[in-house]
Formats: sequence, structure tokens, C-alpha cells
Amino acid sequence: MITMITQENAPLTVRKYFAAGNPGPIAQTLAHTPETLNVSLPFIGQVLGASSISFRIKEIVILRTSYLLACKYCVNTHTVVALKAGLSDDEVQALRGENPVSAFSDEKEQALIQWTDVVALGPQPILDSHRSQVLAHFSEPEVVELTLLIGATVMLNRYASALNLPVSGAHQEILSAKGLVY
Amino acid sequence: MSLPSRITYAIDQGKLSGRLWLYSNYHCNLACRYCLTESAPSSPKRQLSLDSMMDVVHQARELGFRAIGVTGGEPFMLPYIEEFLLQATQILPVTVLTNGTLFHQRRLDKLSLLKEHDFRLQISLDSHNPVFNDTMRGPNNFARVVEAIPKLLALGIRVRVATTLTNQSESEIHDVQHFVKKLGVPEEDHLIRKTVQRGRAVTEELGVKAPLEHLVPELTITAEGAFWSPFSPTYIDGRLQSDLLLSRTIAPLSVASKILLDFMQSLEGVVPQDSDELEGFV
Repeated sequence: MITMITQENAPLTVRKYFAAGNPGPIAQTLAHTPETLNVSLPFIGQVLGASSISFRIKEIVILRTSYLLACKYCVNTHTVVALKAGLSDDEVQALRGENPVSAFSDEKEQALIQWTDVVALGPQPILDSHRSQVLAHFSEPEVVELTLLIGATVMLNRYASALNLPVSGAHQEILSAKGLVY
Repeated sequence: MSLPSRITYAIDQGKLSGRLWLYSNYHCNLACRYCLTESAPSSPKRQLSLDSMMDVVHQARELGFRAIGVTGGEPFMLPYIEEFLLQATQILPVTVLTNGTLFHQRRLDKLSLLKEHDFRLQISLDSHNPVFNDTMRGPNNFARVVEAIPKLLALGIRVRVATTLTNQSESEIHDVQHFVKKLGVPEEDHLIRKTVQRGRAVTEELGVKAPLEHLVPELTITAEGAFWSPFSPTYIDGRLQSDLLLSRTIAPLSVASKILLDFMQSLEGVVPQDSDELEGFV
């Protein structure tokens, strides 16, 4: 296991990320190399966090990608986040491959899930027909942002799986109470 | 402003030390009670190679640093330390912190080649009382140091003595001052200071706490990264205290130098402040 850097041992140039307590295992492991944390966390925050694209749409992408990449930490953590973003239990389970994707009735969201599936999984070529389909529902800037979001999530999925990052106790409790532990 | 200009400006303003530190290694033939780095014969070596140390020295000069400090561990445990000193002193003034116990005749012969260079040794001696000194620093330490200092001075090598305060009384401090003077070391070359409560000194409950604002920024390079000052890359129970880590990148040196300057700037005058409690390594 990689040691978690805690508030007490946080390098001086990254203490701002620890000001409100320990920021979670991704930042707490990246803090081993503060110069990396200082560029990667703003990037992750920008790509995965609040932007012109809605919280719900972003969480559909993150949870779906994490399921496809079989990242236990990310699926569990983003199940909790997706519920906060307003996804139903059925929708969450659909993104996790436990229910049919038809749980999503909105065509736009179905197109997004299909785009996520072809982009995240690879290595098959992504066809013009795939691009046309997603561009029928999302603007060019949105497709750019969502595609980068898929890529960033893949990176974090592999990072969290490789380092076996632990799901927080608070998230475990929520998942257990709802029977949604992955 | 270019990075060398920023460094020069910060040094000229007294905000940044002109001395860049190298932790050449972490192992040591002694295991002092207050050691910041938990150094001992069995410690992981974490040593910098000759090439990487020389690389840092060359880059330090190009960036505007004005002197090199070498510490450890015990630098004279390294087989290539003399070679490093012969090369490095051609480029910048060098000070080496040493426990003074490893100066056999062959080494003295090699060091004699440095007498014409801007080179000095800082040797630790905590008391005129061998029992007290050796309780803190290890068996036979006193005898070896007292034997080495006059020999080094006779070679024309500048020697400073550093006395670390733990619980010595005023009269004991006076006695060690007198004793060091008798060894041939002038008063201005006798440094008396408290240790910082980091590393093994935490476990032993020795020294004074060192908040960031009391530590003058002195860029410090180890095999494990770049740090705020030589008081920073310390170990407790074998684990690095990473709170004063600047970067894991040590080459190019410009990366850590820029991070240090940017961080100093972000503090907006908070650092450095003089402290009555602390003095620098040299």
C-alpha cells in the first residue's frame, strides 16, 4: 500500500489542499510528489468538477467509465457522488452494468452513454457515425469536454486500481445502507 | 525576470540563503541522540552519486547560488567525497559538516590539496567534558575530534566547530568555548546553537520547535527530493518528514529553485523572520 500523506505531513506547497482536512486518497497519494499534485489536482478539478456541463451529465460519464475500467474505488466513490447529482438508484445500477441502460429514457443521455462506451473501452476505432451521434445531442465544446472527461477518468481509474486506494468510511456507510456496495 | 535574476535578487535582499545544501548521504558511523536524520551505521544510505552532486554544483553556479554546503549523515563515509571536494571547490566555496571522526592520515593527505581553495569543515563538538560529549554523540567521539582538529588546522584547512545545545549550563558553555579556543579555533569560528526538534530529537524530546517562519529558506537537495532548508529532510521511525518537501525533482535544479521562489513569493513577507531560538547550520 502507498502511504497516505496526512495534513500533518503535507508538503508546504500543497498544504492548501489539506486546509479543510485530508482531501482523499487521490490527493493524499499524489502529495508524495508535490510538484505533480500542484498541476494534476487543478486539472482534475477542472475536468471532473463544476463547469458549463451539468453535474448529472458529468457523473454519468465518470460512473460509466469507472465501471467499464472496473475501478472498484471509483465506482464506489462515484456511486455516492452520482446519487448526490440526482441519479436514481436504477440509473446508477444501469451505469454499473447491473440494470439495462434503458433505465435512461432521455435520448441525449443514451447517446452519451454510447459515446462513453466506445471512447473508454477501446481499442476499436471510433467511427464518424459515433461522432455524428454524439454531436447530434451535444455541441462541439461539450463533446470536447466530455471526451477529455472520459480520458481523465480512465487515467484515474487505472491510478486508483493500481494503488488499491481505499473507499472512505463515510462512503462505505452510505453504500452499505443503500445496498450499493460495488 | 529570469530565474537566475530572481535568485540573485532574493539573495541580495537577504530573503534566500546563497548557500545550496547537498545531503550527500544519510548513513553515519555515529548515532547521535538528537540527530535530525536518524543517521546511524545501519541507516539507508540514500546517497547522491558523484555525478549528480557535481551536476547540482554546476547548475547552482549557473542559477546564481554562491556557495555549497554538504551534510548528511556523515559525508566522509562516501568513498568519492574527496574527489567531489576537489572538483566542487573549483566552482563554488564549499563547507562540509562532519563529525570529525574519520580523518585518518591518508584522508588528511588528500584534504591538504584543498588548503588553497575556499573550503572549510564544520566539526561537531558538544562539550569540553568527554563523558557528556560522548553520551550525546557516541563512544570515543571526543577523543577523535580533539585529535583531528589541530591536524586539520596544521594543514591550513579552515575549521569551524559547532556545539549543539541540549541541556548544558552557562558555565559548561563557557568551558566549551574556552576549550575550543585552546584547540586553535578562533571564537568567530565557534558556532553554538540549539538543535531543531525534528527527526530523532522529537523522540528524545530535545531541541526547539521550528515553524516555517523561523527557518531561513536554503534550497536543500537530497536523493529523495528538494527541500526548504537543511533542517527539512528529516526522518522519524524511518519515515521522511515531508512537510517541508518542495519537489521530488532534483534535476534540473531550476525546477526546485522556481518552486521555492514561487512559494516564498506566495508567503508575501511571512518568511524569513529572525529567531532568537534558531541559527543556521553554519
